[in-house]
Amino acid sequence: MQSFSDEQLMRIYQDEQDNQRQVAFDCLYHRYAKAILQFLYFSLNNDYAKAQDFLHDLFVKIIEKPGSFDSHQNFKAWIYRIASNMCKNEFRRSAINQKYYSHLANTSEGIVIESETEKKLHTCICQLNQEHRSLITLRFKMNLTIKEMSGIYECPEGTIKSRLFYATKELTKLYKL
Amino acid sequence: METNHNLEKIYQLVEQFDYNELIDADKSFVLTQMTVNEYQNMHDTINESKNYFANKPEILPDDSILKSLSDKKRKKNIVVRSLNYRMQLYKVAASILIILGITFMIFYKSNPGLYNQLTIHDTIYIKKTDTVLSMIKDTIQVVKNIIVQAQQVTEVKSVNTLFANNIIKADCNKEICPSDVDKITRLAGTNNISKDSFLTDFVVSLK
Repeated sequence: MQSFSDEQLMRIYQDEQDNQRQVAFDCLYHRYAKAILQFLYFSLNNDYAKAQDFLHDLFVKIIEKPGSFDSHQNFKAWIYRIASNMCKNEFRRSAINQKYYSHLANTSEGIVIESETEKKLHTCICQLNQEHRSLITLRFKMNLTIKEMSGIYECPEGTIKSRLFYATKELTKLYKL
Repeated sequence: METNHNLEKIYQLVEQFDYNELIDADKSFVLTQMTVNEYQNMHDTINESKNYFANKPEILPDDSILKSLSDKKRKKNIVVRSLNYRMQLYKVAASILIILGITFMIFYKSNPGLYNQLTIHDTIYIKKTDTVLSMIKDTIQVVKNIIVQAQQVTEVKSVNTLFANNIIKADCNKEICPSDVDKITRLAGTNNISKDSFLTDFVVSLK
């Protein structure tokens, strides 16, 4: 199973009558759980508990609706897209959430901030809007390529570069003030 | 004004190169879009962000998540999986046919007479021919029908009475009428139909 591609594993999991499907699911979980958790954690302004909940919910979605994955698309892009949309929805919900996440930006729960520079950068990243923060996280934390990111956001690579330019420009503005 | 194409190119440069590492053509291009200071600040921010993320300790998923997912999968196995079980179409069709067949058999056995169709042929075809004998036979047939109809009347009346009261209206050109009785009697007297015992009996009965 370890040598199988993500898409192959997902196809096995989609087949209800395949007795290897549980193994395939566990394999996918171990491949992606850690990376998705990092992405969720930074996208949700370092909310450790919420990131864990979202990770759980994301895999529940896969369990409940495995058919929503089109086996011809890229699994990595698909799972990151779900995670990104979950974060986007979370920030859309209410103004109360915005206040809550602003508070988290100043507390940095779950991580140790060594230097003043890091602390300042951490605050600035948390002040970015959700889309820019997700872009910065995917690019600089997850080290995804522009092509992979274009797959996640379903837009041309040039658009991703433009968005990254604006995100970086905003971060620089906050950070270098 | 910054076009998207320019932004894409600048982003590629700013992510990879320090301003001093740029070739002259790129430096000129960058300067058409932003100052050296802006470029350098962006480049530094990107590098510091990479360091910031790289220095962060990795967060691990809680073990309870995988356990909870296993429980979900088990629940799905029992409830949802049975509902989502895929079956070939021919099996479904065969099952329906068998069920319908058994139901029909049971119902038919409990109501055996329900499907016995009762047909009644009540049409009388009268073949008209030009010969005298066949005309008489046809006439006799019509008379028989008249008698049968007459018997169904609540008050039993003789054929003559029925004709007299206009209960039975007959076309005397085609059917036998009371006035024809004498004619038939005379015909019987001339022995034209004397060999037909049935007709003879009929004429006797009319008398």
